[in-house]
Amino acid sequence: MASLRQIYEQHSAKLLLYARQWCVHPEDALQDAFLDLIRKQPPPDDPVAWLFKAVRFRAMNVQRKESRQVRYRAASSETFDEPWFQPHLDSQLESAEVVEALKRLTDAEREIVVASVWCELTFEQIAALVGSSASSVHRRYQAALRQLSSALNSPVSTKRIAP
Amino acid sequence: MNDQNPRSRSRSDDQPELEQAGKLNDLSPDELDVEQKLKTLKPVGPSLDWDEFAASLMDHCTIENLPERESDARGLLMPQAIEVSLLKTSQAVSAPARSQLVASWVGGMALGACLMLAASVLWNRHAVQSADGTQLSKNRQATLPDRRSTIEIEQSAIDAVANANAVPVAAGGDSAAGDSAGEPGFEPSEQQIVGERFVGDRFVDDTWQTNLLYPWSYEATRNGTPRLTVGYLVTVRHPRSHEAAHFSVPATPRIRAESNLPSRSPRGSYQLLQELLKTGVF
Repeated sequence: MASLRQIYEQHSAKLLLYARQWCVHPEDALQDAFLDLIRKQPPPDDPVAWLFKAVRFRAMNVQRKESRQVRYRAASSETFDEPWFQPHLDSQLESAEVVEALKRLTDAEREIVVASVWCELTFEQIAALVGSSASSVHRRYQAALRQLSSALNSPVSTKRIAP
Repeated sequence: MNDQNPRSRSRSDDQPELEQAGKLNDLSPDELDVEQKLKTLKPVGPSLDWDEFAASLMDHCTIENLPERESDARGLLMPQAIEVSLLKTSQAVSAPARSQLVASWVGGMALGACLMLAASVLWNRHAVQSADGTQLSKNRQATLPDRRSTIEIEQSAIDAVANANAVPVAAGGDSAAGDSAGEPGFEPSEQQIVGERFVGDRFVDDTWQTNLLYPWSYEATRNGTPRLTVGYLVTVRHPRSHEAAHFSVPATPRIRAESNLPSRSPRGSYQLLQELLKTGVF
């Protein structure tokens, strides 16, 4: 079984992105999930898959906390919007536009796209997370990709690439 | 990572079910194109490296060191529900230091009913040994009307923390965790001095019930002069038995990140505290 360190170093970015769908402080959710994993007895057979489920749950909890803080956030005009993706000059897409396009998806579609594209989960794993069937997840995935294709392939959305 | 692309596996693995559902597992050219483009983006990684992250986990785990006789209190002290800190102004040690304790809610489930524990706000004008030997001491505790438990900072711990010479180094945290508040010989252990936070010098009293993470950063931003505090001994008294449980305040990764200080283990935090006391930050 992979060590906690290996899991953290290999999957923390994916887990953070996955949690970021729900909350603006995903690292708190990640920490809570790892604490849960440490305390889990007996340890899960697939700690990575288990962590995704724990992060999902924790991120939703963090989201509820954050929703209670909106008034304070507004009072200080402080924003916690953090980038979802690393700046990448070679990427054919602007990360900000991708995030905006993702946010226009339904919650379920966005979760499936994030889990599939960046978290590299199988459709079966995603199905277990969202409580659906793999075929349903795949259908939603296709629908979400079509929406993203439409949103991102417009002339104003496609990043210009130097010849 | 891409060598073992589970996406590739997923399609073959899901194929029977998908075919059974009358769906092909293929993506159209447009779908494949956008999928490939999306994959060129890489998620932002964590702000903490493994060592820092592991230290933050260890901070939380110190809560587990509470003794069995505090089991009632421990059952209510879920780490994620506790956000308590002693706020200290950044006055020099030679001046009277005013501390402000803000306690947050502690949630618990008992017999199917959700027991929400409120907290209290304790203003402490604690004893500080000044350079010329003058000692000022004053305790003031303000409690909120709907509080069901009292969370307070032990005066002895405050004094110990405020005075570098009075902070003993005790190995481990179990013994201190089991001591009752104010008992002779009570000494904070290094495991109970953890975490770093920037905080304001004043707390918004109507915000403590929801979550203390945000008001801390809010105060720091609004005042423009972030304050530094270090995790402290906190004593939680059980609402019925009045048993005391001592624990340290863990710092979340975000707090650590906002502190602009390296994440530290409990021992490192203790050393940091010592350094700060020497420089007169407190």
